[in-house]
Amino acid sequence: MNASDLKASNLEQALCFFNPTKPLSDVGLRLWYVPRSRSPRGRMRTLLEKETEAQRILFVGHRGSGKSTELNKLAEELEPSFHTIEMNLIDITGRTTPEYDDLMLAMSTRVTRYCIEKKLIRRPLGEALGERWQDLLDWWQQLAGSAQLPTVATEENLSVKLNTILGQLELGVKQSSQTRDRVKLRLNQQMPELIERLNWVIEQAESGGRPLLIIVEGLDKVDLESANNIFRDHSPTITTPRAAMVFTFPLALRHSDHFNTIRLSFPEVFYLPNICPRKVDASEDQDGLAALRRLVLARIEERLIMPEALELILRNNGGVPVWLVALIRGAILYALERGGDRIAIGDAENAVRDLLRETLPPLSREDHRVLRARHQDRLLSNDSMEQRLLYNGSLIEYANAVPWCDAHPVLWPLLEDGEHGRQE
Amino acid sequence: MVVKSDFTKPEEKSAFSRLVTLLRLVEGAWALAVIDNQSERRVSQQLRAALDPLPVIEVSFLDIGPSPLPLLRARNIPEGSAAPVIIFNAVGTAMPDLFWYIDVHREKIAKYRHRLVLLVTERERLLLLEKAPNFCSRLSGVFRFTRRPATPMPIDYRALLATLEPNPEPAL
Repeated sequence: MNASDLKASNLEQALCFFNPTKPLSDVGLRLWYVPRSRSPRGRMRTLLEKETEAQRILFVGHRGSGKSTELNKLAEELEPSFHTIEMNLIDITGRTTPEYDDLMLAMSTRVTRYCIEKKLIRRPLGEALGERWQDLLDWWQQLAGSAQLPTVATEENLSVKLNTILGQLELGVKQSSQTRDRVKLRLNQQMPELIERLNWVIEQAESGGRPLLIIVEGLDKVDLESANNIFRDHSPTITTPRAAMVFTFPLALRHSDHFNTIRLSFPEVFYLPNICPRKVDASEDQDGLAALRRLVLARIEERLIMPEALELILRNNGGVPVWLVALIRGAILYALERGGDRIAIGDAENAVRDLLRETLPPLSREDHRVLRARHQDRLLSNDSMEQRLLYNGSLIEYANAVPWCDAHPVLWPLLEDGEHGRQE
Repeated sequence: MVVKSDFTKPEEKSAFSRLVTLLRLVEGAWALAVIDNQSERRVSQQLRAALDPLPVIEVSFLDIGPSPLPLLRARNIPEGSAAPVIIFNAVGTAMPDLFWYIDVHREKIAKYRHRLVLLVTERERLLLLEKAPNFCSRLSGVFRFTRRPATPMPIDYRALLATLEPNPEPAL
């Protein structure tokens, strides 16, 4: 993609540029990323770069708030000073109920494989180093053990052989619960050995001058009990690797009784707030609206969307980037359907209506009652009902003042229309 | 963009036109088509005709199990070829396991260029939104081809799910 492809010049192109299925990365990140004033990315970067001790950071944000995009941007910015290893625990393990040993195994295999593939570890030439390499290989082979892994073809290069074993181990553990159970049983008896070998790899890799940063995504989506198991009950283990680490963290746990315990091991917690189109007193937040406008106009020429249509979309997405992208895409489809060459107010209105009727999660009467109350008082609490509504996206948290919340804007007519606010 | 179909109701005509436009233009798009017993077969047939020459593959979850990933892996798209449209039916038969697969593996699914359409009943749409929110937050659109409109909110959720029409017969 070159500079002329920076912004969509017609609606067909715009439809492709507003893609809700993926966060920004690579070319999209370079072309369309818009800095957000309240993003903690800058502070995270400063902390990682300035502190001599490897940091362990928790990163929290709502679904669709742009966490993955911000982490991709952080990795890009840190590229001159860190080797960054990004991994998604759910992708690697295939589980939404991972345990701490799943995390440790995944981190170890991924970090080791990365360091091998990027040639960050000195080749096993000298005798001492060669012995260490052989030990690493032997140890992983015995961990894989009688797990039904295909025989590794004889290879002269220890590091290549090791990389192959680790790849097969990852696959075996993911695809077979029997293999996983066998390996974990062995691993639990040898966790100190795993940590020792992982730290040796990290030390070798960092001896070249650039430290490692491990970014672990997916932990914000795991079962809450699993997250507690990992962060609260096994924090001493998961913080033993001597590399900087960033973990995504479930929003619901931030408001739980366990959070203070978790903070003892993870003092650095950074929250990515949603963009704020309004203030807590319901007046417009011009900075927030401007940020949302920049997000849109980074990808589409301004002439392709009528001002009133853009304003309607800016006021109805709740400050959540994924909804903004969805509304723009929906409006483009309506415009293309009528043969228009730009988005008009009717297209935006249809997109907003569809978001309410077809895409927001269903709400019960009790949900409705709570949302109406929060729309009126905007008070944020750790009440379990509200946490559920935050999770499903019908309640949105903001941080342009003391943290507050409001119902998704497309729900407001429903909530304001009498006792039950029945949708027409 | 002109899209021909034999849908006569304005809402269905609009939904079909927008769905076809989306699928024609956007590789990797994910869409829900909300259908009922009467419209399911018609939507599939009309999509196949309207999307030609894009390859359209119809797949039943009865045949592939609750995860779409093995199918996507198997249907590798040669470099330079247009990504096919995959229409999934019998979605209800894959529930509840389907919720887990598409929600947990949405990042992996997003790596494939295939254009995905899930044919769902109103009941299944509500369940997907409730149980697979991570997947649904990435949808490119929900397109309706049913006699009844979307269930108005607020709802008596449990009672409603008990009274909504049962899943249509799996397409033969």
